[in-house]
Amino acid sequence: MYVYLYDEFLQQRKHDSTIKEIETRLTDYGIAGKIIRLQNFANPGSIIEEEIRRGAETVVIVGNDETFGKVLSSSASKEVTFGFLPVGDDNSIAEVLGIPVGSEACDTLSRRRKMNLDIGWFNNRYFINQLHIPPSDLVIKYDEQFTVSPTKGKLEMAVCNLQPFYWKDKKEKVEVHPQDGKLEAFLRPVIEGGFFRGDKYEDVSIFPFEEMVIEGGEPFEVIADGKSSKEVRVTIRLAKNRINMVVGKDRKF
Amino acid sequence: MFKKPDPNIALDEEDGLKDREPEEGVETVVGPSVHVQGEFVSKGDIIVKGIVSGNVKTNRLLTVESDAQIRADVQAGSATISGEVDGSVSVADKLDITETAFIKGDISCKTLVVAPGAVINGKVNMDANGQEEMVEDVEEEYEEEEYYEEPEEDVEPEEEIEE
Repeated sequence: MYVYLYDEFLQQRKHDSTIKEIETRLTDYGIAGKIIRLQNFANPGSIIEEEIRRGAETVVIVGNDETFGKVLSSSASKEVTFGFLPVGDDNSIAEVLGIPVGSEACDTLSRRRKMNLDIGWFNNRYFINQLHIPPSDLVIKYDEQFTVSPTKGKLEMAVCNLQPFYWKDKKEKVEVHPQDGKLEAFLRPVIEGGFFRGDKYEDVSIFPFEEMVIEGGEPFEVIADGKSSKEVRVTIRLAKNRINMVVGKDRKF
Repeated sequence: MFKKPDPNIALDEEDGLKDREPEEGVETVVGPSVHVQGEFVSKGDIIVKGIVSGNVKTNRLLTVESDAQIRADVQAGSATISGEVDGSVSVADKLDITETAFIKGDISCKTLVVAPGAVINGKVNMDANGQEEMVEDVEEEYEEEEYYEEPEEDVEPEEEIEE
């Protein structure tokens, strides 16, 4: 049985035709199912758990990157196959998964090419795409073997899983595969450039890892899949093959 | 208008969708203004542009760039050193020392290339057999790590079974 989780933004009139087209195509393929519209404060994890209890075998996320991250961060541990129908703008994850945006995604869903994907875990929740820590006083301990710290100043960090990370100024791109059995951490020390010149950044360091602990002298901001929180100590682990996902033929891994 | 999905499609493609094994050649880069301290072991290539103290081990290529400092014993499959190393350097295959390198420690390798201008303060040993043993040691360490990650189920010692 299929369950479709619609993001709230899909109620906007401009998406009406796409949604109608998707629903028609799903019916033609014989994979139409229950539709649940996610409200702002709804917890996707408990909704999915309830639907699994009622017999759901495939949960399809309908929306954009934000919807994808919001749903999977709280429900990646659920024993169910996930699908994704990208609609509208901000759909870069779909490209990595090889899923076309709009009604053509129904073809990919109907083919059911399933793969187990690695995802990241930090302080009791999952992140699917990226974790970013803006410049802070950080000391990082990798796989209980060695520590990494800046020789002076602050450190900015990004951990990538699904997508390459782009630094705002340099547009650096490093390909990271969700199945390579490791997460990759990108570190960038900040050199303070003064009031007028602004901060400058050193070249990026890259460390593949399975587990790392980040400690800060004072609380630091952590942005995981676009959701921000303040932490003093963060443990990041790789959750191998955690989610079972329907992917497209043109996936980037 | 649309064809219903053929149930065989998924089955036909199942073989090509096996979850990939972890890649072992992932590159590690220690950038400038970064200090790494401890047992720095990697299964892939290592590029050092910053400071490393402790131990450095890889069975692949180690590159130490001109402004880098390593205050540690180094073991690598092959290496190119352009920076400063304070510690012994054991390389299984080829060691390339460029003109900006400064090495304070003993060197052992199979093939050595030294550029004019490089500074070496230490003994140089080029015993091919010794290097092969060193590579085996590094590989054994990796095997031990894997063993501890996946402990086997508890089995009673054989002696007790005999009693």
